[in-house]
Amino acid sequence: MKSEEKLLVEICCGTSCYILGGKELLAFSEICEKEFAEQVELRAVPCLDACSTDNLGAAPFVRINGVVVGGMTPQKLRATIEMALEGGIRK
Amino acid sequence: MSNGAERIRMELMVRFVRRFFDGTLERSIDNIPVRMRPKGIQSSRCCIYHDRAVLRYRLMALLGLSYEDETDETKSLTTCLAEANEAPRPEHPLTVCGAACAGCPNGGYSVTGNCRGCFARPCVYSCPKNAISVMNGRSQIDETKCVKCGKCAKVCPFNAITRISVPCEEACPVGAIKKNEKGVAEIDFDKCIYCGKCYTKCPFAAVMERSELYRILLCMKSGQELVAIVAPSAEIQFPGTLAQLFTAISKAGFTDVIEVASGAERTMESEGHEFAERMRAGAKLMTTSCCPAWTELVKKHYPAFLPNVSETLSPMVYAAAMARKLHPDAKIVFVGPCLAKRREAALLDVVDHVMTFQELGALLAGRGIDVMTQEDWTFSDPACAQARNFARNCGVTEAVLHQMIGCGLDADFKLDAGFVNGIDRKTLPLLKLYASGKLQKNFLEVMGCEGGCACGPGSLAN
Repeated sequence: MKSEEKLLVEICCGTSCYILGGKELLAFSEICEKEFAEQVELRAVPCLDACSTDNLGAAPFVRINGVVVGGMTPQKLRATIEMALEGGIRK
Repeated sequence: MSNGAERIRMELMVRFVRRFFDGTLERSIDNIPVRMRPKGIQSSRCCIYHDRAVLRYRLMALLGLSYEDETDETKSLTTCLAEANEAPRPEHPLTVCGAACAGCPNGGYSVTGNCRGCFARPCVYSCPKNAISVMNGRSQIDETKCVKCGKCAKVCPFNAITRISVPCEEACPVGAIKKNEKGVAEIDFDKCIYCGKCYTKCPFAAVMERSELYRILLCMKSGQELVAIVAPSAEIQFPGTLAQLFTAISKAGFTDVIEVASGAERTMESEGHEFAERMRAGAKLMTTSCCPAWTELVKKHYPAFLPNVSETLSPMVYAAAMARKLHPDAKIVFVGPCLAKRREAALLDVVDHVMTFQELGALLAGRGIDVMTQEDWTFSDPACAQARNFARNCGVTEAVLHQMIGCGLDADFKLDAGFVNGIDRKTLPLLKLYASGKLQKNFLEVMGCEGGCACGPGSLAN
C-alpha cells in the first residue's frame, strides 16, 4: 500500500489531551503500529484544537483520516482503526 | 489514564485553571461540579448529586482547604475562593473527604456465593482457630475468632473465600490511616509520613491533596515574580524534551526556571564527603536524606536511627538557595512528583510553594501551552548526568560513589550499599532490620516510592 493510501491516525499531543489519557494512546500506538504497519500511519501531533471547555470531558482526541474522534482509550482506538479500515470512516 | 479518579482530578484542575485565566472563576466556580456532572450523564458514585458534592470538596482541596476544617457547609465556593488566599499555608498536605469515603468494610475474609458446602470442607480443617463452620450448606466465618490468616481462602477448591480489602489502610506503611467512630477514614498526622500511598490507592479518591495551585495562580495574576525549580523526574512527564518543557514552564508564568538537578550536584558533593568523613570516624552506616517520606519515617517511627541519616540537605533546598540568590524578590515554586515535599517545604520554609507535575500539566493545559511545539530552553549551567539521574533507583548511591573517589578513604574501603525501593508493608521489615543495626551495610539508599521519584504520587508518568 502506498503511503498516501494509508489510514492517517493523528494522536493529539496537546497538553490537555496528553494529561487526560493521550499518554496511554501514545504508548498503545506502538502496538498498533506493529499490527497495522502496512495500512496505518500513526503520528503524534500538536493540539488539534478540539478540547474547548465544553468538550474537555471527551479528551483525548484522535484524528483519523481527517475526522476528529473524542473519548479515546487504547481499546477504542483499536476498534476505530479497524472500523476505518473496513471503510467506516472516510473524509 | 490508569483510572477514573485520576482523570476527574486532572479534568477538574484543567477547568479550574482555564476559568482562572479567562477571568470567570469567581463567577462560575460553583457551576463547575454541575458542568462536569450535568443531568442525564452517567454518575460515577451513587448519583450525579453525590458526584457534584464530592467535586465541590475537591475544588475546596484545590484551594488548599480541608474537609476536616469545614465549619459551614452552606458556604459557596465563591466565598471559599475569597477566603483561600488569606488562609495560612496548610500544615498537612492531605485531607480525607468524608463525603467521598465509602467507609470500606473492615478487612478480613468472607465466604462468597461460590461456596458449595462441599464434603471435604478443607476450610474447616485448615482454620487454626476453629472459626469456620458449615451451616445451611455453606461455610461461615465467625469474625470473633478469625485472625485473618487467609489459610481457608488458599485451600478452597472453588475459590469461594475472598479477602476483603481496605485499600487505604493496606497501602499505608505505618498504620496512619484508620476509620474513625463514624466509619470514615482519618489520617493520624502524628504517624503519617506523607508518602501519598493512600492518596493514590483509595478507589473512591477520598484522600485529597491540599493544593497550593490557587495561590500560585494568584501570584501570577498579581505580577509577583515567580521562579520554578523543577525536579529531575520532569524529563519523562510530557511529550517533547526537557529543554522544551522548561520553555513551556516559563511561558506559563515563571520568570525563571531552574533545574533541581543543579541542587542535586551540591547534595552529591556534600553527601559524598559526609559519607567519607563518617566512615573515617568509624560510623557503621549512613543513610540518604533526600526522600522526605523516608526522613519522616525515621523521625516519627525509628527516632533512634536518626543519627545515621545524612545531614546533607536535599537537592530542593540547594536549588531553592540558588534561585533565591539569582532572584531575591521572587517566590520560589518547587515543581515535582512528590507529596511529602509539601511537608518538607512547610517545615523548612525554603520554598514558597510546591506544585506537582499533575498540577503543572493542568496549568499548561489550562493556558493552552503545548510542550512539543516549544523552542528549546537554553540551560545556562546544565546539570551533570548523575545529578539528573538522582531521582532514579540507586541514583543517589551512584552519585555518592562518584563523589567518594579521592575523599581520603583507605584504598581497601568498599562501598557496600543497600537499596530500598519504595516504603511499603513489604519493605518495612527490611527497614526495621537496618534501623536495628542487624544488616551489615555501610550505605543505605531509601526511596519512598517504588521505582524512584518519577513514580511519585504527583507524577504524570506512572
